[in-house]
Amino acid sequence: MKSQIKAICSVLSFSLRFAAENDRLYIPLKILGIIPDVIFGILTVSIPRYIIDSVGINKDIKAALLFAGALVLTMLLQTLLTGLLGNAISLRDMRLNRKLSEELQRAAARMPYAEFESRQTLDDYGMVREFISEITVSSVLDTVFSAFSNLLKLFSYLYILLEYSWIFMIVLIASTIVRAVCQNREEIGLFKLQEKTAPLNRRIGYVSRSVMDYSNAKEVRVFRLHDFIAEKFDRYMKKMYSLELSSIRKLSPLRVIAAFTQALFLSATYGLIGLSLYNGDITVGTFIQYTGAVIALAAALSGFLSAVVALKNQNQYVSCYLDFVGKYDRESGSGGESEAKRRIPMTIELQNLSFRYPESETYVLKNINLTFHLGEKIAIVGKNGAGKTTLIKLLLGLYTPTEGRILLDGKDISEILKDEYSAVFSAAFQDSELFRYSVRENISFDRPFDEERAEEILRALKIWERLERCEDGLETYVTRALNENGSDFSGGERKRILIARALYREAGIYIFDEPTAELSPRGEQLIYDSIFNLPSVQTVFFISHRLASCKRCSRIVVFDSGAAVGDGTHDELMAQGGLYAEMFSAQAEAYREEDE
Amino acid sequence: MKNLFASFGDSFKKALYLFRIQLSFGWEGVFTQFLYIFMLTVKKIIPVLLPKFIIDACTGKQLSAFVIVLISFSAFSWIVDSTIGITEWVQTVYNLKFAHYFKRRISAKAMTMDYKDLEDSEALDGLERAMDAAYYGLSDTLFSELFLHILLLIFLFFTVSTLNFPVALVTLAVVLLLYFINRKATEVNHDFEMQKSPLRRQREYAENCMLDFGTAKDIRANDAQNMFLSKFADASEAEIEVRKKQNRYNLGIGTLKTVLNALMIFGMYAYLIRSYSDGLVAISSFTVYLAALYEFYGAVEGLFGCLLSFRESAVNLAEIDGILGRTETITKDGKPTEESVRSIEFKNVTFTYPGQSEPAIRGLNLFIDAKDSTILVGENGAGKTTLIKLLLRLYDVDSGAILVNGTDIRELSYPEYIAHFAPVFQEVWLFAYSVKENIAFSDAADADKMREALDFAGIAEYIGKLPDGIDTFCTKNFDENGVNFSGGEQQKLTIARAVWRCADVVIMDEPNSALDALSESRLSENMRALAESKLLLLISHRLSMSRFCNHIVVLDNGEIIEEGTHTELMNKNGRYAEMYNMQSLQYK
Repeated sequence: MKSQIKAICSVLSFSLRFAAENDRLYIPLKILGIIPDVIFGILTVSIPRYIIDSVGINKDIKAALLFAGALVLTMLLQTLLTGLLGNAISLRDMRLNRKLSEELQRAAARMPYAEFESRQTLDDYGMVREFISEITVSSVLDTVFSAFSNLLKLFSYLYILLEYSWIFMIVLIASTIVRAVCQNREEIGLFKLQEKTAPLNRRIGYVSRSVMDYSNAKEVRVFRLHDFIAEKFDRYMKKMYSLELSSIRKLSPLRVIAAFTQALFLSATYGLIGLSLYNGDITVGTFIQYTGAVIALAAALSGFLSAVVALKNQNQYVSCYLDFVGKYDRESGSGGESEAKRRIPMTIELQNLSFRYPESETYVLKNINLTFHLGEKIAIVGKNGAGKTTLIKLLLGLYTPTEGRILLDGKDISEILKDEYSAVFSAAFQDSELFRYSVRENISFDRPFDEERAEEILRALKIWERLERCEDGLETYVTRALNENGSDFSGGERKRILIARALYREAGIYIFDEPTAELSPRGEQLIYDSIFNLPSVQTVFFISHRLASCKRCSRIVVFDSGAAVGDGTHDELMAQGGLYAEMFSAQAEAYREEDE
Repeated sequence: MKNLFASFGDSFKKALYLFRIQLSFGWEGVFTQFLYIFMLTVKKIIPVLLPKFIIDACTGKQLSAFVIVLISFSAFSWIVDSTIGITEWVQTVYNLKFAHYFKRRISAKAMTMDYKDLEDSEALDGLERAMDAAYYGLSDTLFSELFLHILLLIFLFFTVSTLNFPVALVTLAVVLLLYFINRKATEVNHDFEMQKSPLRRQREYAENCMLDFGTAKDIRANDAQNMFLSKFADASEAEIEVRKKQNRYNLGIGTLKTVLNALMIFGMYAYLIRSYSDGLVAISSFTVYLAALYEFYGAVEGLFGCLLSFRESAVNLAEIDGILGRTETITKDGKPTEESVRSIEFKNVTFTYPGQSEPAIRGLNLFIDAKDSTILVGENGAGKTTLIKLLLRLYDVDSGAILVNGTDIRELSYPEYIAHFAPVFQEVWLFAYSVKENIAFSDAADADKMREALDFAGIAEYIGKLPDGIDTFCTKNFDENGVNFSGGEQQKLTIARAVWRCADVVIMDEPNSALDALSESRLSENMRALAESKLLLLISHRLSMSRFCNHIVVLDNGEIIEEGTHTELMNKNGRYAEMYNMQSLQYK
């Protein structure tokens, strides 16, 4: 009970504070919206009494017409006022929802990248996203104010009825207690059901998404996966139906009990009021008013109870959201929004660097000690799963070292402001994708665009002519998803724009993590040429499986099972005869054998 | 006017269709629904009638009648409320069934739709809209709600007409007028929704970019958060602007409707009061009329809402039908394929991607013998992958033909035909299911055969070391112990998938792009062995792969420029020799 009250309070305080902080007029407007609702509620219940009594007892037609006019006017005013306020509030609702989403987006941007790979975070994160997209803060506020307004109505109808007799109080309290207990039991049952259906829902969602996501369309067609997928869908659905039905079977007696209480409450009150009418204590008009008030009271009570239950349920989302946003509030210590200046570090040093995923026992990287210097062109090579990409993610600050540290010009990177640190790097990854915005925005994002510089890079990458041919030039949108005049770029073209993005960014260190795997050797060579020829690119890391390209680098670091097992130039490593030499000859052999 | 009924007639037919679908889930669902709606109506009528009985009993001093009324009322309301409580609940299950029925059918369609349509943004949009329509746009309570509102209106109309029939007719006229206003408002609102929908799409795209895992790396590495935030804000504001106009319009319409309604009700009240004072109505009946009139507007609005959802459902169903009714060029119909593929022939094939002006393949002729192992080489964009897509009938040729064992593949039954092929595509795709399911697409898989396939791809040892072995989930989506496989590992799993299929023709499109040098050389050894028994069709940028292929095809700009064995082409000293020398030089 205590925890439930606490839950409701926390939803109340969160939503009201959020509304007050972001929109000073929101709460006053909402309250303004409640008042006519309550007043007109009382009026619609009460006015008929006066109409009836005017005609029935006083035989005063004029008065009756006046009251009838008042009733109609009440109705008219209520509709107009509610409409007017509703309009104003609906816009503010949209803004509040937007604000909340922005707050989450900012928090998500500050979330350490590695957290994306933790199961727990993903679960919470899923809930938070559901909160902002499905539940929304505006509907939480709606529930809050519906609870208030129903409570006010409850009291106002009660007030009307108390004029008649205090016995109502007792009847009402008794029936409320029974109904609240029923509703609470039901909620507990539904919560259990939800715990069981949530994973099913996730799976069903995945199945339908994976069908609509056409990146797997080739597999679906060629491997004839229709039945494989449909079977999964049907299986989860069947499970879901039976779970739902069994919980309905278990919980429906509660509803019968609640209905019974409700019926008792209604007939008791009708009986009491009717008895007074029978005894001639009240007029017909009053009878109508009281019975109307009873019905309205019952509705207000149901409305209040279900709003409270809804608030209680929303708490899990709200608290999840607050935890999430609170966790990534200012933790990264980003001092200001100011654009950090380009910085070219002289050295970057890895000291006893080790890394494992938080939930895993095995180290992906173990005790790495390396120092890189300005102007080096470094190739990171190794077998699949040797830890190359992890190293890059550590360098970029996407992961935090489990042990050891990374020093930038001698300073531990954990002490450097995040904005300042990330301004040091520019990176392109194998799975990078273009955004559905213009080519220009894909290259420079919202920063001032230096067209000359972009042209130089795009020309070097041999993609300039293709863009020039487009009607909108650099303003051409990628795909037609957000712009009708967008263009579909081929895989090779996309890669080159992505590399242009990385090269355009003024950074001290450039990182290319297998961005050229699908390109032809000629295409790859072109990209390496343009990277090597750009004077602004001084220090650069490459990851590539094509060792012929690595050969051009001034330094090659070889990784095997999380350790650096070789470090030197191509010639040095070949002379040492380690893993690198083995790999290089494996690739070279293919060409040699044929020459026999 | 005729048009009006015609459009409603169509909506009605569509609603009947939906109703039949519901019936197919069993009569219980429909029964529950009608019961629910019926009880709701009763619940609305009780407070209108009940006071009359009580007043009659009480003012007439009939205590026994009063007690009977009370007892029957409490029994009645118990039954009504319990029934509502339970049927409301049971309905949610049928609701789910109904929504899933269309979701499933659209999903099934999305899987069989011509592949080329998936690159057509119009078809994709249509698919998305159909899915949205199935989620939010179809009502499964059309008839029961219509039933409710008609029932309620008949009751109210009947009540009012006992007072005076012409008065009831006047109300009907007002109702009709309100109907036309509502109709117009619906159209205008639809336009507003159309204005909002691209804005919503923009807003959601920016939001998803900020929140999704897939884009997180790039946004972080580029410090691009602000751009997405401002795109999000801009789209939201634009959406709010439209909403503002929409609100203003709806307020105007709402006022008009309320005023009309208020006038009507006031007139009725006045008439009622006059009738009472003329002694035409008893006080108890007076209360009934008063309450009935007050309910009138709500009932009329309810009916309009219901008619509107008929139309909405019809529009949304049309959206769904548009997708479900798409014809497919690739079907089950056709001749059976022979037991084994002996040859593949491209005859004068030309193909242009939809929406492109330049053909990707230009009058290409190519004969592939099952005994040979063939490799396609050439620059990016030369048409290598396109040839594979054509062969797999992901696209059909514009002109010319592809023949398998001499038969045009378009004449063959697709499921049978495609069973002869086992492809590895360039883009790796794994489902968030177990390794086993990703390879065999079935839960029951022979462990030895699985090991063989994994071994071929060079990943058996790695998978064997995982605690869950081949039952390990890909990604942590559905399993805490799931593994996020690296790019190279994923590629190996897709190779295992192709090997597992035991098809005549094995196609590998850049199967080694993410593999390290040692895995690559091991894979090519395995492929050499595989080529002994299968038709191997390979695409690779690494010409080292060509060493065990005796049929090398060099493509450029959609055409074959050279063809032959390695020795032949080296002697020819053309493009292949140039490419090969360039590459091998790098390894000297």
